[in-house]
Formats: sequence, C-alpha cells, structure tokens
Amino acid sequence: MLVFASSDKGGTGRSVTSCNIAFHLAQRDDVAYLDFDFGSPTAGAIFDIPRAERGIERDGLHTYFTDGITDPRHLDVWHATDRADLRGANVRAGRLSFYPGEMGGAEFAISDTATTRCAELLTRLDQEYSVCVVDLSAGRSTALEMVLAATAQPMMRAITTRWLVFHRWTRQHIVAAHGLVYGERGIVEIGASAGHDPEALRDAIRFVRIAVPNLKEHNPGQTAAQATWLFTYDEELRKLAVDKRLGKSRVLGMTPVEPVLQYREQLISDSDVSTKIANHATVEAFRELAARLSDDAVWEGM
Amino acid sequence: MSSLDTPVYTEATAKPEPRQVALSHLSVEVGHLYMEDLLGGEERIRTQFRRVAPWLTAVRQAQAVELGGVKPRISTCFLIDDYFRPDTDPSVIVPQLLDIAAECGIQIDYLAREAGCHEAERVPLAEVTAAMLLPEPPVGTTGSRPPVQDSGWLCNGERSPDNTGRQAMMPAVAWAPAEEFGKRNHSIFLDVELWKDQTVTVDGVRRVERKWSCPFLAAVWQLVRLGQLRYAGEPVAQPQPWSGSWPRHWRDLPAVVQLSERPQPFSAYRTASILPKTYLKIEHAVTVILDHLDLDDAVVAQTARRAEAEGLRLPAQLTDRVAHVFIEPAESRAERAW
Amino acid sequence: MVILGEVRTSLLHNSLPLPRDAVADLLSLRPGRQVTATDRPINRTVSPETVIGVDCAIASEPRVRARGIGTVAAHAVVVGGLVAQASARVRLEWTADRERKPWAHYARRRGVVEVLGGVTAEQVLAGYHRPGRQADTMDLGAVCQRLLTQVQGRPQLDHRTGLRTRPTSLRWTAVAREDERPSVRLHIDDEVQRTLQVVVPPDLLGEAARFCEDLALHDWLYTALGNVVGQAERDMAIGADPMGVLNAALSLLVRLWMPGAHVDLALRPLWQELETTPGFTESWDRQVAWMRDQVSMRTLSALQEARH
Repeated sequence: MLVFASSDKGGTGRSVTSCNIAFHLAQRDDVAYLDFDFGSPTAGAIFDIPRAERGIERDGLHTYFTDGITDPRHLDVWHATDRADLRGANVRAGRLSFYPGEMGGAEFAISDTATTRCAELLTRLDQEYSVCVVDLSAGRSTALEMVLAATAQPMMRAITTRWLVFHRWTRQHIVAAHGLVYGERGIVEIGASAGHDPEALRDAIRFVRIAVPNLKEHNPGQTAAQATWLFTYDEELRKLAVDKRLGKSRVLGMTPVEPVLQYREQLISDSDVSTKIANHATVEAFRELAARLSDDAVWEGM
Repeated sequence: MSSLDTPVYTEATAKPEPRQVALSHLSVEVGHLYMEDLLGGEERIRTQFRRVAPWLTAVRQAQAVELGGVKPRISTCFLIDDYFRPDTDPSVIVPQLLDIAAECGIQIDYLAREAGCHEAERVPLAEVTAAMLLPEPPVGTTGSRPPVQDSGWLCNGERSPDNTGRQAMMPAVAWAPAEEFGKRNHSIFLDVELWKDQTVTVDGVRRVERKWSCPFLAAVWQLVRLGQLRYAGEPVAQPQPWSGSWPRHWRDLPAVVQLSERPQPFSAYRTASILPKTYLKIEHAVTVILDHLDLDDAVVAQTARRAEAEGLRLPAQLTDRVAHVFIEPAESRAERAW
Repeated sequence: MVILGEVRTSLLHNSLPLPRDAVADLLSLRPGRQVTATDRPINRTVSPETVIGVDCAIASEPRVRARGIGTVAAHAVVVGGLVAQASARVRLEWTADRERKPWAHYARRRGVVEVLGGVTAEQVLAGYHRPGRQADTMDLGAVCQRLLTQVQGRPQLDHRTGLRTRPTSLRWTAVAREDERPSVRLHIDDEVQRTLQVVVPPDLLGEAARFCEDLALHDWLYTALGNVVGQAERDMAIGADPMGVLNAALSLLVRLWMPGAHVDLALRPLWQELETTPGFTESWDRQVAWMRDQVSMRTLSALQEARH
C-alpha cells in the first residue's frame, strides 16, 4: 500500500504526523518512509537521525530523480535514531526504512523520465514493504504532480494507493485543503488529466485534522464568554467542513493539541507518555490513524 | 559447450544457432540516384552509370588482386529511395533504369528498396538494428547511471554540457565544446540523427510514428549486404527472383529483388559502394553507426569461421570491410537536404 | 583470468507464476534476438544479452590506479515463472595499452573489460569483495538493477504482489586456475548482500556465471522463507492470522528449490560443499516442515471449532 501525505499549507504537521503514523505501522509491518519534500528535506530530524537531519550528503532521493542512480540510500530508523527508547522497544517490530533527500537538495523540473523513475521506485518498494509513506511538499508541488502522474501509469494501477490531506482546524486551512483537493489545478483535476479516474481518486482521499482543541476538557483559565465563542465557532467550522466536502465521512482522524509537538517535531513513543511529557491522547490518535489507514472498511467508496 | 547439452539431454530452445547465408567475396553498389534524378530524364541516369562503369571494373580488379588467384565472387546491387518517396511508379522507373545500366555495360544483379531496410517481409530491420546500438562511454562511465542518450541521436564523442533537468538553485554548468573520442589533436565531432518520433492521429487514436533517417537506413543496408542481420536466428531480406511485369507500387516488390540469372550471392564478406560525392556525409554517419553496434556475436563468429575456412583475410572491425568510391555527382546538389 | 559479476534476485511482480510462453515474451528485451529456455527439471528462461559501455576506475585493495575500458554484459533470468534475476558480469583482460582504442575494438568484445595500469588480479579481487563500493568505480549492481527494473515494469506482468519479499544481491568473482579443484566461498554480508568467490579450471570459467545465478536464486529463496517465518511469528505474537503469508510462501516458493539443477555437472561439487557448510537443503526442509505444521494445526483447530 502506498500512502501519500499532502497539505496545502506548510506548518500543518503533515511530516510529523506521517512519521508517527509510519512509526506505529512499523510495529507490525515493514514500512518505508520516503521524504519527497524536495525543497526542504528534513524528516530525518523527526526520526532523530543526526546524520540525516537536513538530508544526507549524497545518493539520496534527489540524485535518484535527477541523476539516474539506481539505489537511493535508505537508513534503518531503529538503528540510526538517537532515541534510545525507540530501539529495542518492540523486538517483533517490522522494518522502518527511511529514504532521505539530500542536504542542499532543491525542487527539480518534472519530466517524463522523473515520472517513470518515480513509478519504478514506488512499485519496487511496494513489493518489499507493506506500507510506503510518501511525504510530499506543501501545496501544488513538483512532488505532488509527479506522484499523480506516476500512480496513473499502467504498472501502478494494481497497487492500493491512499491519499492523505493534512490541515489545521481553522477556517483558512479548511478552505485551503478544499482547494488543494477539489479546486482548480487541484489533486482531482490534475490526477484526472494524468489518467486517474476522478471518482476513484476522490474516494482514495481522506483528510486528517491536526491540533484540534478538545473543547470538552475543563480549562480553568477560560471565561464563560470564551467558552461559548469557541463552541459556536467550532460548530461553524464543522458546517464549513461539511460544505467543503471535508466532512466526517471523509476524515481519517484527528490529532489533539500536543505541547511537545509545538516545540519539537518528533516521534511520540509510549515512554514519552509514561514520563508524562506527552499526552496519552496524542499517541492514541496516531495509533488510531495508523489502524484506520490500513482498515479497508474505512476506505470503501462513498 | 556445457555438459548440460551433451547428447544425454538436450532441448530444442536451449541453444539456438543462427542460420547461415550465402556469401560472395564482394557486394558492389553501382551508384545511387535520388528519386528526382530517376524521374528527371534518361540523361541524368546515363551520366551517372557512365561514371560508375570504369570504377566498377577497377573494383573488380582490386578484389581479384586481393584474392590472388581465387576466382572472385562479386555481385552488384542498386538501392532505390522508396522510403521517403513511395509515391513513384516502379513500372516506369525500373525498366528505364535497367536499360540504361545495361547500355553502359553495368549488370545489376540485385535491386533493393530502402523501405526494405526499415521493414523487410514484415521483419522490422531498423528496429532490430536500433536495439544493437552501443553508445561509446565518456571517461568516468561506471554503469551507475543509464547511458547518456539523446533518444534518436548517436555521436562519436562527448556533447557540450547541458543545463536542463537539473535541480532548482544549482549553479549553471560552464560551456565546453563537444569533443570527438580518440581525436587526433582536433575534433571532428559528428552527431547523427537516427530517427525522429512524431505523434500522429489516425482515426482518432494518437500514436507515435518513427521516421528513420537516411543514414540509419543506409547503415542497415550495409549490415544486410554484409550478411550480419538475423531475426530470431533467421536470415532477413533474402533476395527473391521477380519475373513478369513491374508493379505500380514499390511495396508490392520484395525488399531485395534478384534480377540476373544465377548471380553470385547478394551478401558478401565485404562491400564497396560507388556513390556520388554528395553521399560522403551520409557514409561518414554510416561508419559512426556501424562502429557503435553490438552485433550478434554468433553471426560474427560464424562469418569469421567461414572466411578462415575459405582462406580469406577478414578484418575484425566491420567498417574495415566497407569500402567507398566517390564520384562526381550528376549535378551540384550539395545544397539539397537528403 | 578473472570474472567479476553481480546477480540481483527478486520475486517477479505478478500475482501468479507466469506461463512459459509469457515468460519468453517478457524476456524478449531485444527485437530479433532469441530468448533461450530450458524446461527441465524446471523452466529457466534467459533473455538476450544486453551490453553497456564503461570506462572508469576499477576498485582494488590496496588502492592502485587502474582503469577499465570495455563493455558489461547482462541478462535477465526467470525461474519457474516466478523469480526474476538480473545478472551482470565482465571478464577482465590485462593490457599494456596506455590509452583508449577506437570504440569498435571494445564494441565487438561483449562483456570484456580491458584493464590498464599496474594493478594485479589479487588486488582487484580484494577490492571487489570489500563491503561497499568504492566511489566512481565500476558498478555492476546498478546495471543489474536497471535491467531488473526494466523486466519488472514490463506489460506482461499484472504488478500484483503475491508475497512481500526483499530483493537480494550477490557479488561474485570467478578465477580460473589450472590443476585446482573447483572451490567456493560464500559470505553473508548483511540481510540482503552476499559475496561469493569461486575458483574453477579455465575451461569451466564460462559456466561460473550460471552456478552463481543458481546459488543467488537459492540464497534468495532461503532468505525469503526466513522472512516469511519471521512475519508469521510476528503475526502470531499479536494474535493475527499467519495463514495468508504461510500459504502464499508454501504455494509459490517451495517447488523452486532444486540446488544445482541448472548447473554444469562439473561444477555441482561446489553445491555439495555448500550443503556441508552451512547446509542449505536440510535447514530449508526444516523451515518448510515447520510452516506446513503451522498450516495443518491451524486448519485442524479451525475444523474442530467449526464442529463444536
């Protein structure tokens, strides 16, 4: 299964959430995480791999696409991470392989060659890994256009492909996420022109709401007026989301506000919860996202 | 030979051996005319054949000297440009051509069609040849990257560096001249267009159509004359006798027509081409193409064995078996595109 | 005389084994060139050779300046309509030349790389067997990978994954020595990388590649089965059903195990050496028996449950 992580805006928590999803999936399956955020390849920092914090020096995904090398380098996250609590936490965990971009790597022009190479790489990794999570750059990027064209190629038609669109729980983000999927030159339109069946493509897209405040939680610092405003506004956002076709049936899940992630993008492990640094609800949300991602019932057509 | 293939157990498809073709010592191409020349009146044709005749005699003598006493097996052939001009009428052109050749003392044993170098009896010869291309690697080629290939082009050196398809915000590569591999002091760089792909719409269906270039088909023509092409081990473009009247369309003729009775074999160990000088650049391109082919090694070995059995000296390099005589063209056509 | 080679092995990207004619079609990679096939004891089909030119440094240990010019020959192999291999190799020939000759000289010597410079065969062998490729030296692995990618992308395949497996890579050298018994040394570098050293009499050097391809196939099968057992155990540990992966492996992989079947008789003793240490077939059989036991026990208990 291929999972593409996209978002219209930067700073949505797309990368950190998809890393955490990959981490949970890898507890029982072999998982590959591909950093297709070519303009800013920084997923290494989330996995806490110091030598790949801003990408690796050579033979990364950039060179694979622009220079034609055959084997982009990958790192075994369990071995390469500095996080001692991740290593050996689960002796029966699957592999978690991280395919980094390159230090100083930049966006490149899309070409038929790059698209073919993309299809070849994804097909090859799909044979090897149960799940490949591909983190795309924000917005209408080269990476997004390239994977839409690649997944429309005949050799990729048989592969289960799922698209995630991450957005924060604000009016602007909802409108933007709607635009990225349904709007002009959005995923559906560009996908259809690349050869996808627009209906099938639409059905393979789910939204992930990031940092949604829990209004039921008691907040001692809040006035009654504030609370009322928040409830009203939250209700308005819900209506807006339904209007914009981002309603509940199209949502894969949501993550709560997590203070740790406001400061540092990282994997949230059970040990972060037991030391009370991170919230239990956050880990649960990631676990739930991972479970629903591979639950076919969630992805049945609408 | 491996012991798996001992008589204890063999399988039909395990080790295919290519079939042989009959070989002359020399195949001589007796001139070449553009279709416009063929249509442009008898005098142009006559002028060229008159110029070819003495050289044909010379080439025959040279071959006899080379063989030193053995009776040379020499066949002659003539190639018609029907690939780029299929709209002309063989029933008009062929009889006239053969009459004038005979009048000038030239016997043409085989008449071949250029379109037959593209596809002969439904065997895609040009495609087979394209699959044999083996571009020359620049220094530093490790195999890590796919060969740098501008699809449809072949060169005899290294092209100028190129700034397309790179990442954003990378410094541009400085210009450098193209350079011939193995040059002597200075380069004679040649970049040959082998084919051109065009998208055409036929009955509402879009498909890519490939137009092969004249030098590429001329390279196939040399390979056929040298007996080096096989399709799944079978000979290709074998001459077929033709009796009766000439058809109205070139496509109704076989790729290679046998004209004379009991000629020497069409294919040969060596070729000589007597051509107007306008074909010099095409033949240069042909040489570059022939030098960059991965030939069927079973056929190559077979040919070498047969030459040895006949006591012939045969250069290992294919292009060393190919000779040319360039004569004055019918009229100056240097400016015309081929 | 020295041959350097590499074989990459992976599962053909198809839901079911491909019939023999479809395999022949799949491996018709060069128009006009023949695909060769043997059907017994199991179908093994080989594509026509493809060639690419190289002119680069040659790895050596200790590092000595050496340049190799020539062509790499490669072909693809499909065994049992199920396993795809790409195999690239070069025969090294030492030359006193100091410069590159006209290209036609190399073009007509398929799979031969001429070595320029004062490097010895021993230094080249040591350099090739070092873990990790020295930068900017000849890269047979990439040649293999491109060929494998080409085969795996062909339209004859349905591109459905029947069983998730990891491709493996085997780097090999074959050295011809007069009056020496054929010998073999296999080293497992990591989960997917192996190195193999073979010594054979000069007349059998040409057969070494086929032996190495056969060994690479069986090493891959062995590795794949090991991973299946690991996955089944992981499933069982979390209470998931391991039957899917066990059944797929049993039905796809098991019948391909035939060490030495396609190897020249004279080189079969090499297999016998490997059967002694580390011992391939015995431990393969045990793994298969374990898998069958799991399947029958689970089938049995499912039946009993259904009866109650």
